[in-house]
Amino acid sequence: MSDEDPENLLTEAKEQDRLNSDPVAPADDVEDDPKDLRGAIQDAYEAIDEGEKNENITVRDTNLAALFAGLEEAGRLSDLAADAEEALGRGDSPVSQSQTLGLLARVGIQELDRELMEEASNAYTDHLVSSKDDF
Amino acid sequence: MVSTSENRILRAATYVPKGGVGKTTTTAHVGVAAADEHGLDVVLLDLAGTQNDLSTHFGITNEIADIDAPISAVFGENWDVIVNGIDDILDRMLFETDEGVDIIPADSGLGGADNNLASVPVEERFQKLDAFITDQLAPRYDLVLLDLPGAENNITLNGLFAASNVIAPLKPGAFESEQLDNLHADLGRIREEHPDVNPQLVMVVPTMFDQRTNLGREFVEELEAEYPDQAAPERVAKSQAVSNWQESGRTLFAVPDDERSGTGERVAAAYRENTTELLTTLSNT
Repeated sequence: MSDEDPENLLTEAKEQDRLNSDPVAPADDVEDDPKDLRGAIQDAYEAIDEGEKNENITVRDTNLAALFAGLEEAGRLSDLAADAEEALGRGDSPVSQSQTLGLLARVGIQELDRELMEEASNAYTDHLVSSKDDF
Repeated sequence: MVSTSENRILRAATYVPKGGVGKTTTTAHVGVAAADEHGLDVVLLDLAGTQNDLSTHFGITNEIADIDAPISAVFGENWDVIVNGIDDILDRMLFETDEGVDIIPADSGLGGADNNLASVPVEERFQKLDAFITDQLAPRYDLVLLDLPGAENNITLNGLFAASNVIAPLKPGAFESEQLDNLHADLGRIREEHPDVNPQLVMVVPTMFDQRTNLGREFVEELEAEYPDQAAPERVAKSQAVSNWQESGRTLFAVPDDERSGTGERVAAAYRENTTELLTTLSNT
């Protein structure tokens, strides 16, 4: 509770604005059982298959856009991609700018949280198994 | 003439999730008719956004230009401190009109108040206004009419909880034949989603009615056939007089008899009749 002067509180009431008020969700509005990550990723795969979610991710970053355009122009994109594949333990194969970005994101996630990558891989496996059952 | 027992306040809210159907006009005219014809002490509570249409209707726009005791404070966490710390808080919230009713105008803090109500536990969230009406208004007034926003937000739900009785002005139109069913469904859904809030439709008032059109006649016939208990006894005719006098800050009841047009007189008579019926219904609930 803010200033206890009733007159000041009255003035504050009139000045409150939808744009600058930031309510905290009360405890009873929070979901009782937040979904685990593996399940959430699996749900996302299904949504993508159904066309309900986008299979693309978008990053608006002028500096990275310039960097990758320059790499491609200078013929050095494939080198970066190869380094990323090696870090991920994958085989050497031709990749596009989009695929390179995907590899680099994976490298970054792996660096920060290896278990997260494993969780994602497990969720992918779950999705493949459940899809196979839908005969 | 309808009277009320001491410290009991009759309550109703005009609510339709649609604009331009005459909510504010209905609130204003029913309020004045209740004061004029039945001698009730009436207060009108404007929660319908910050345009302050209700105050404009009574020509008090200048008086409310700088509200120092806003109704939005009622919905906040500091209301108890305010009401216990300021003796004349209600007097500062009220504005008199020349037509025998008092108004508590809308204020710019209602949007933020609506937002902040999301922080309040749901079992308390919709009861703020009810407590204010019971504690502050009931000792002084016989009737409170709430002019609610068309949007279903936390302020609206507070109004529906506090009033329970809903007056729905509806304008006959090309798509309006389903609007009554939609309104019933909306109120039912509100009751289902928010068990504490129990809005009941007590009167549907056909407004801007043009008896020369098939649309108007069919709408009213359908209303009276399917909702006989809620159909207002009188249709409110379409009349330019209402908006003309509204622009000069008056209801039709404030217009001298010899200046009131034929349709204006019919509209005033319809509101008188509908108000008598409404008050009887409210007294029996």
